[in-house]
Amino acid sequence: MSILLQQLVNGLVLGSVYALVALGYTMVYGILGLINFAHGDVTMIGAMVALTSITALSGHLPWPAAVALGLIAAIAVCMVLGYFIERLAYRPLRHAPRLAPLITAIGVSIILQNLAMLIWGRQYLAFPALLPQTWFDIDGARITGIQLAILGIALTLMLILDFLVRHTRLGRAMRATAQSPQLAGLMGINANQIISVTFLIGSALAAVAGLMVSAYYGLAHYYMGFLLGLKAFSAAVLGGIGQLRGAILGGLLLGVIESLGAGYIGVLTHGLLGSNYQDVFAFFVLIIVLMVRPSGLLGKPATDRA
Amino acid sequence: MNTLLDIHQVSCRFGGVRALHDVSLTVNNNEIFGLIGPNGAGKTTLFNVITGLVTPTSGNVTLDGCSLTGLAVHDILRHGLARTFQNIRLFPGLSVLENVMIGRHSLGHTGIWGAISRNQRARREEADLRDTAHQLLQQVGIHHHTQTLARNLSYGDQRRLEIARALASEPKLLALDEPAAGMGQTERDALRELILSLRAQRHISILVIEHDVKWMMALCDRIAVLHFGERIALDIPERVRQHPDVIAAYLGSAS
Amino acid sequence: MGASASIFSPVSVGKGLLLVVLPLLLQAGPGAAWVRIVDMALLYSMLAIGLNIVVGFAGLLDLGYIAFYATGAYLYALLDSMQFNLHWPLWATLPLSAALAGLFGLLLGAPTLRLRGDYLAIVTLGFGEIVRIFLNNLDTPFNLTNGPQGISLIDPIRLGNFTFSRPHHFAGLTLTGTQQYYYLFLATVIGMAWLATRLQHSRIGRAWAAIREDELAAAASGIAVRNYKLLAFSLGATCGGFAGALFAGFQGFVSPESFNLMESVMVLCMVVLGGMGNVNGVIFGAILLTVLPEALRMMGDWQLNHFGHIWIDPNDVRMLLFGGALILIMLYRPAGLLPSPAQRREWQKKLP
Repeated sequence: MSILLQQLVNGLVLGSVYALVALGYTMVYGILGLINFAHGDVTMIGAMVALTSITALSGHLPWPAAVALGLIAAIAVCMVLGYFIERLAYRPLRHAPRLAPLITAIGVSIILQNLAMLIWGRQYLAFPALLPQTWFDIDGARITGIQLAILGIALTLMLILDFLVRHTRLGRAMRATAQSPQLAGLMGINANQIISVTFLIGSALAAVAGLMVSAYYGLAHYYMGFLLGLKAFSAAVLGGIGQLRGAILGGLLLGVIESLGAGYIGVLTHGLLGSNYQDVFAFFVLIIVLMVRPSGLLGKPATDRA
Repeated sequence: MNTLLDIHQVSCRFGGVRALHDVSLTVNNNEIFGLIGPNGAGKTTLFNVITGLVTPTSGNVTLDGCSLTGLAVHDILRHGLARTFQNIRLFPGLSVLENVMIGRHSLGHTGIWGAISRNQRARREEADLRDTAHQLLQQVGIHHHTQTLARNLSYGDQRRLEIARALASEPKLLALDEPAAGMGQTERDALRELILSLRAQRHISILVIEHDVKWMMALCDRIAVLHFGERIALDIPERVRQHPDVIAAYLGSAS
Repeated sequence: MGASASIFSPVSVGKGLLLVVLPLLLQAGPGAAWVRIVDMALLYSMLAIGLNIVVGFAGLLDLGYIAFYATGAYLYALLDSMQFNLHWPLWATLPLSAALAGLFGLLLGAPTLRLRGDYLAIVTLGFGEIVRIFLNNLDTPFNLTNGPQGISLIDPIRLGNFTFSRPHHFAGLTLTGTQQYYYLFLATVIGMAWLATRLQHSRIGRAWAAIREDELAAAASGIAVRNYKLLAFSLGATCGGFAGALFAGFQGFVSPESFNLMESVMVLCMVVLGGMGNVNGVIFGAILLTVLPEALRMMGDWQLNHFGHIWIDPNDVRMLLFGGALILIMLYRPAGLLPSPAQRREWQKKLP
């Protein structure tokens, strides 16, 4: 029982990080119909920037201040990055064939990865051991302070975003642009501006997620964005791509599936397969969702047009 | 009877919105049939039901006795219904000739082996295909630029090319979705002449959706009028023009 | 036909002769290492031709293409090495490798291809990674792939009694293994290019082009969109598997690290840079991108000679350049460096 509970807790924590990244995919997809392949790597850059600044500041400031400043630096860098990625690589191709922005997205992703490799090297960077190691025991399962903080912050951010999109002028403009950019334009909404804002918000969330992942695992690496991005995208599809609440649900669910899967795969296969297959689950979830219900859990079944 | 297309009690709902309600109509062989109605009357939805883009909530569509309901888009073409699009959908990066040749895809047989070996059968098919495509382009009047890329054609010629591509599959019914949209008066008149000549030469039925009521009156044998998803009239143009419900619908929506 | 006449034109004959004597010239001039580089360029050309069927002809983005290469390579490695002490003949291994890769293509494409194109991109991206994870981990519970160490001591390619890796004497000339592989690979590339071109200019190729241009209009023209996508996808995969088997025999060693995401991206770069949809263009792209890193390496040596230190490691900037090239090509020259004649006409028309 306690193992199950433990896996659930771990899964929810991991899942809330996936959800934050998935939100970025889903918002951009909702408005532009584009998979922003570089989003996972923006998250990676966030992790790298946060980790380096926190390491640099940790000797001079108390840890909460160092972490807060590191987070702000990461958010700032990622927002700038997100803004320019959209302006330079996607906006000029908005009316080009569908293949074109997908290919530039891949290009951006490669550039970010290799820049990160040049700046931070090929080795794994360790997150400074300055966060207090506290934990709580519930019914035999253990939840650490870091896990609690990740869960708390992620859920808060999701609630804020959900409120923002549903109840503010900006949110209405975003939803209108997602429905039809032309129509939104007629209503006096500057679609380009809304798209930029979407990228800014998505990148900021990615920065937060980046910090969380590196603090949670204690590591960051220039290649980490690839798998993280793939999983977050799977989460977005699972929940219903284009749906904000779908991304949250999908993220949490995927985290739990992955955690339970990794915990029990050995038992289920009588030791044939081990937890080194953890990274495979997201992919199979993606394939199954696409086969059974491509519109995702919360999406409306789309009319198959061709 | 010589009924070709039979639309039988078709209803369509999207969420809570009733787009079509119990619409029935028939198109006869060799007939030019018009579908008009104010904006939002359900013309496009009905067109999408016929061409397989939308599955109706209830009701049935048959073409020459075969049910089209629930068929995939490409199967509907194989049953003899070819269409054009309201906002022209050509293959913009391919030549005019290639566009028409692709329109005849369903009548071809060449598979992988034929494509690679270019055996006699494949070569003959290819040659026939080219000849037919040239003839079709001649018929719609754009044979002088077969090698031009479709995207470089003038607007009116793009419309004509789309019609030629649809005709290439030798349909029993040609469905035109607002073919005169965005055209000037001279072009409209020329297009009407073209449609009439196509019917005369190819003995096919043509279903037309269009906003321009006057233009339609001079083109169609019979016209159906949709209003708020219901068929409020179906008759020859002269009588449709005088139908009180039709007058009310158009006056009411003009405000 | 005009094509058959041009084969015997002086220029074509000259080009043909050059291709025949190239490995001899390279061996005599810059050295044996360059024959090997050209061999690799030819292997990449096969991959580029295969991926071009998917990306260039049918307009589908496959980001895990290298997984099919891996499939072919590993199947060859398993059937012709000491791993299980199997030594199957080439006529069995090669078609099997190609067919298995094609089958994987079908299995992966079937659920994905009825959806919008970008799903395929992400699913293939995941698939590429999954295949690598499996190759890395299938040494337990039962040693299939030998894990991260990979499989070594793979049999060289053998046709009857002719072993390609062994030097042979022909008419007073001694050909090395790499030179003999050159002729084998060259013949394969020419064959694949010929097949791809034939398909492109046929009813099938036109159906692909239609799908690439406008999927809905293609369906409305009677094209069974999903079937044709599947055909393109699995044909592309088949080419990948075929090339993979040749690679395994040529290299004598396979490991999961040869089949990472960056390799998929490399092949995509070759296709995009050379000119999507143009078979000659993508071969040009493959050769360019295989030879370019060697040129970059020389830049490294040059830095070492002049500054006594490598300031910019060419290996590090290589992928950076490729990423940048993808973006710039899509923005400014979407038809690639070597567009097809039709695309070139179109491109010139836009110039003032």
